[in-house]
Amino acid sequence: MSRLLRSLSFRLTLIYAGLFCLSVALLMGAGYWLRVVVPMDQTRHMVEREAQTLRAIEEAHGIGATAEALDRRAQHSDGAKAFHALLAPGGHVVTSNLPGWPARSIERMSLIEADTFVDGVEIDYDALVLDQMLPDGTRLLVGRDVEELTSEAEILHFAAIWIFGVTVVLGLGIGWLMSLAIGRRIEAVTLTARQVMEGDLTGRVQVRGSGDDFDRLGETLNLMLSRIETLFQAVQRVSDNAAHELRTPLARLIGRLERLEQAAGDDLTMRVAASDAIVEANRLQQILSALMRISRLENGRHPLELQRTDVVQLLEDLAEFYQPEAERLGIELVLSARRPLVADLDLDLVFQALSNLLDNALKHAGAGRRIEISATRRPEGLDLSVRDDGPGLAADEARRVTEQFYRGKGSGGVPGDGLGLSMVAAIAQAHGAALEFADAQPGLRVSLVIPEHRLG
Amino acid sequence: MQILLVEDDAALAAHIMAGVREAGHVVEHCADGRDALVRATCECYDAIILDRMLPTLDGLKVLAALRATDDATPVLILSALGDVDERVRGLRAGGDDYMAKPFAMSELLARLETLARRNAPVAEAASVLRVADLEIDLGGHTVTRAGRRIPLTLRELRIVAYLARNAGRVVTRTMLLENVWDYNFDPQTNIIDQHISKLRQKITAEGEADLIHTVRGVGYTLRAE
Repeated sequence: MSRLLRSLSFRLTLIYAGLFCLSVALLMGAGYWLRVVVPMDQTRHMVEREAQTLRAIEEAHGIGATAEALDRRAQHSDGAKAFHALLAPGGHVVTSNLPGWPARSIERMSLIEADTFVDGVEIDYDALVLDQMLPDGTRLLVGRDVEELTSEAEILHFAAIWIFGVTVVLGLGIGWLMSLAIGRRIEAVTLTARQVMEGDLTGRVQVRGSGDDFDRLGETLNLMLSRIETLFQAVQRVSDNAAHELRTPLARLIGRLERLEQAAGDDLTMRVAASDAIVEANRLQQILSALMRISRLENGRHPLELQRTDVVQLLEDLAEFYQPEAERLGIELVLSARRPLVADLDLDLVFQALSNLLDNALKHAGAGRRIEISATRRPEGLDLSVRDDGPGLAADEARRVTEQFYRGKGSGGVPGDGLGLSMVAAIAQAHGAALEFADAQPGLRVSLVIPEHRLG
Repeated sequence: MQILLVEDDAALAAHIMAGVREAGHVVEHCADGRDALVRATCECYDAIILDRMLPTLDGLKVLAALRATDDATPVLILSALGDVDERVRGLRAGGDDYMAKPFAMSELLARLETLARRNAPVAEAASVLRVADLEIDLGGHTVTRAGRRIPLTLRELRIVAYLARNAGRVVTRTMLLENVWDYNFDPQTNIIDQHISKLRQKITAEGEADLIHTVRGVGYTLRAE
């Protein structure tokens, strides 16, 4: 939900709908003002002027002259129908064409319903009437018909509700469609970026050919991606060639050394020297192939072959493989995992990673220790851990152990080339997994946490 | 054995030919993919050693063309592309075995021996294997020596069965790893030796001859003496 609220599309929709409603409201307001407010004001002014004139007549010539003037006005009214009522100080009606009025004077402008019957037909009138008490106690009501304006206002009110409702729906709808269109194009860019990040450098943003802003952005990104791909391929070519060029001479070197070993015949010193040299050459070859494998994994050139795996079986095979070595070192190897635990994994890679971790634990824990291999399902994903109760690892070292050729402070005299954990890190990265080093108090716990959504 | 070597690196080819000849085989050499395909289809070899990166025609294409003509000659792919997925690709393309460069001559020879035999019409399906007084019943999952039953784990049974199937021939550590364990991986420490020594202890009783012999620097062989 919060993601929806934060999304640009959602905000665009709201902003669009808001602006759309605001402009419609302004337009309707202007119409109302022109059609109702302005004419009403004009009528009000007219009524006020007439009332003033009539008041002057009353003050100058008395009630009779006023009644005459009122009657004349009613008969000869041009435009809106004129209404009036003149009440003598006692309450006696002198002249009136209003069907009714408030019992007491309210001394201001008000709307009075003044429906009249002409030949039995009712005609609706709404009179805007100025009701005033003159100093001598005479009550004078002067008004004009504004029926047209009030019914206009009524229609406009009614229309406003409908128009506003439709506007809100329309605004939200169009805004949603608009942001959907924009969102889709942004999504296309995001997807391409992710595809490239995951190692598929051939990913390109789809360009519509309309030449709009998004197309220009897409074209620029595509140019950038092409450039990256070219550079990347160049680097790959160099490293592939280097590896190939190194492997063949290394093969020749081993070949020559083998011949030397054979030629040595009974000369034991020569034989030993040659076979030691072969061992070193083989080590060189192992480092080379480990480096190549790590680089292939790191730049996503080693495609994952996911298959449904019985994780417990995998751990059992791993424990079984290392059992004789653990026995030799006097280390207790414990497996802690419960079936069913099934996940989609690249079997060979995960086995390789766990094998490296277990190998490290066996080398560094020390005799008489206990090593536990476990698999559990955590909210973050499948947790595959190797835990020992050996000397552990300092926090500053834990950050560095995955670096290529880095060897821990306590690893003097322990065989290894400093690539085992780099390989594990590369395998973890290929699986989108996290490699965590934790203090097991005592000892070290190394976990490979593979997110479940990646496991499918 | 009659062997065809397809390898474009002259020095490496000379080395391989010398080694293979020394082991008592007849070897022909060609350095080009097209040429290799012509020779392989015209003549009959016991095994072909095939490099992957070749001039004119890629090694895997040669292999595919060969397999398309129903030629089942065992092919050992030899390549500088040594990664696991390259290996899988090579085997899927119809290769019978895959070795990464650089390699040890002894490893190559050991693999050639088992490969060529794979093609020979031996009772491969036999469910009982015998080496000296050791009897392995694959169907019944039992191993007996001189009538004494030896309790083995499933993995140990697979190791001894693989050794027995290749009795008299050298089996290298990597060959064991590839054939007995179902994972393509590269153990950092040589654990295979530990498994062999455990197995050796189990099948050798007091006063009995050791049937599993260590071939120094190469691997193991199971034979009577």
